[in-house]
Amino acid sequence: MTTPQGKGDFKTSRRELLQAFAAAGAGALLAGETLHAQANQNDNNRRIDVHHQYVFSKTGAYPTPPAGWTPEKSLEQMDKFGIQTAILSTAGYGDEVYDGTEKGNTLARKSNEYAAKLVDEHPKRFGFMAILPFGNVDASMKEIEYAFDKLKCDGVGFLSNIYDKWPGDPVYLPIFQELSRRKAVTFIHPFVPKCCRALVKGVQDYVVEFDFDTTRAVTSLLYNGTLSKCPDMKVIVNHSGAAVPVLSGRIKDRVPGDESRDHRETEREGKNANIPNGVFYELKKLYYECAHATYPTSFKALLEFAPHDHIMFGTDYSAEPMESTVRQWDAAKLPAQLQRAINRENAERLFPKFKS
Amino acid sequence: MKIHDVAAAGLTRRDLLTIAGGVATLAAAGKMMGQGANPRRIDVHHHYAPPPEAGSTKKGGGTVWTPALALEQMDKHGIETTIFSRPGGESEEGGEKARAFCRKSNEYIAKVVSDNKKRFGFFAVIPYSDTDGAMRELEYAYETLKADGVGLMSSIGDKWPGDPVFWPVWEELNRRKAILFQHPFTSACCRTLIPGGEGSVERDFDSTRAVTNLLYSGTLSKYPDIRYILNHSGSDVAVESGRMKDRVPGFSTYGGKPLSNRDGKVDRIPNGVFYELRKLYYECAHAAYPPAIAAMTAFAPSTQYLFGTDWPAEPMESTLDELPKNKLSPEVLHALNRGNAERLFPRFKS
Repeated sequence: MTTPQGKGDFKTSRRELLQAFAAAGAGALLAGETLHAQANQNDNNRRIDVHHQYVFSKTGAYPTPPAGWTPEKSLEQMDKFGIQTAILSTAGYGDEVYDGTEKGNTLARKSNEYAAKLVDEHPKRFGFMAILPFGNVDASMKEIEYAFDKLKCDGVGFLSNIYDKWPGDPVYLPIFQELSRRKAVTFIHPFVPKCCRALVKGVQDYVVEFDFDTTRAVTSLLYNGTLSKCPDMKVIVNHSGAAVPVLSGRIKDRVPGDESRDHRETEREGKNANIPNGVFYELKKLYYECAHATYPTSFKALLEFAPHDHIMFGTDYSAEPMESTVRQWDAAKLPAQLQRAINRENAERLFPKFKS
Repeated sequence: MKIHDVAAAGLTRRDLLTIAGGVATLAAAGKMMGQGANPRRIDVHHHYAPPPEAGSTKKGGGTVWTPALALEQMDKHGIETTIFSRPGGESEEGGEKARAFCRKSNEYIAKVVSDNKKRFGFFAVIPYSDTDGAMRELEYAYETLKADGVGLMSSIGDKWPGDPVFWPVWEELNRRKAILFQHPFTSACCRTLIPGGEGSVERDFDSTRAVTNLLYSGTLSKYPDIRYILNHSGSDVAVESGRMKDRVPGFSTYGGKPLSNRDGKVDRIPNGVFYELRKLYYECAHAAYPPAIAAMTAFAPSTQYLFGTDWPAEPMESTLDELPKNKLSPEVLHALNRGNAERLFPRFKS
């Protein structure tokens, strides 16, 4: 099958190809390929997907990935799109795990045990990020010990908003400090907080509010000093960093305490007591996965901001079809080496268990 | 290929320009090429304050504003013309007080502008949530005060600008082919969520929400003759544009559903999402950092870029020190600095 020939669209089905020709006229060039062919190409093979949702129990007030998910469905999609390993996590509970009750603690435990079982059954195909009952710090510490030492989790996932607080809230600091002590990998799932649900008439939450809250979560961890105080914790940010890359300059320039706003004299690195090394230092230490954000705009902003060895592949399947991410991949025309780094090599460094 | 398709297809900026044909001529660009040539920028994001309030700006820094200080900054930074605006909550507080605030602001700045017509222009303030007041002020601002355009805030009371309650005003703005400048105004939902959040990220979120609302409500399609300027290189609009398209009302991939609407065309957006978003203008105040410019230039054609500084809320260096790092071509830079604004505001063409 031909490689992309030019600067056209990135269609992956025959019908879409025809639409592309019709839409763009004779100048449109074919860039799409069949999915099967794509999976056979070296550069897009053997991906590690770090944003992949399993479904343990579909509950909660907030919309979750579809019922009817099975591990087999994931494996089928993974085979189709050249993904060798998916690091499973879940955002499905909304706040239920975070409410600090025994019920929430137990739900976290059961969810982690379920994910661990999937990993046992498919050791090369799955890893998992544990969920912690953040609302109860003691229970979270216990769950960290259990999840890492007994269940052999690959890291910890948390929502961008945790029980109506943002992750940088001081009450959660001890949990992140323990994760830093363990040099743990963590992952931020997008979530729409109470402030911002059904906010704008005619605009569903899932259009833009997810990326706003992810950005808020990162800003919260940064401005509250959690990132500086937990330097050995690795944080993966979803959706190519959401709005972090495009807003990084303002996040730096509007750091709390900098009232002078003198751009020249202070060199404006966004340093204060909570951020002694400056804002860009902390934000560029983060990792970024590209699920549903390989659009040219988000991808280019990310590539412009983050070190290229901090970018990883993700799909957000089962909450999102894999096509949403893969569809845009070819149009980005990344050099082969960078494709390999994003597809697999950067994740191998964070998750050495899957190094081949 | 249309310029909009070209932008989507990931061509280089140089390719875009070759095809665009809406950018400065080579002769004008030639003016730019010499070392130290004055770029003669037109700044569309700059806030004034009438004298009694000049000592107490809402934003940080406490910088005093006077026309003389504005000119000093402009001369220092190669800005030939500034279009002033005055966003703030007072215009939407309702009643006579809000109407008076608007009238006083507009009359003040109109006088400042009339004393220096070549260097100054202004966006009028109108009380959108007071339809009668807004219509009256609009007429006065255009007919008597010769406003160059109208300011708009990203949120208006508890609503966003695309709410149908504002459509009578939009109708009039459309009739006048008005130029609108949208400035952030964080809605009450989101002013105290995280420490430092309002001044750093919430404004760009609200600006982006406003655009999503304008788009999905059909306001942009319904009033196609308005020229609409977004601040901060579009805030998060360029980055979210794909999601706005793929999750257009009635269609969404959320929950694992296949994409069924490729262009985001629905009844209220008959030409599709990217068509509407690429018609907007993007001014680069405090968003000339490379990631923001990368997103903007990956999405919008170079005919849509404008220059802005957000002075005095931000030192001009915040924008001007960062802009050269993007290594934009001389042609694109000229379009951004001046060329596109000359088309929007022909009275400054020279």
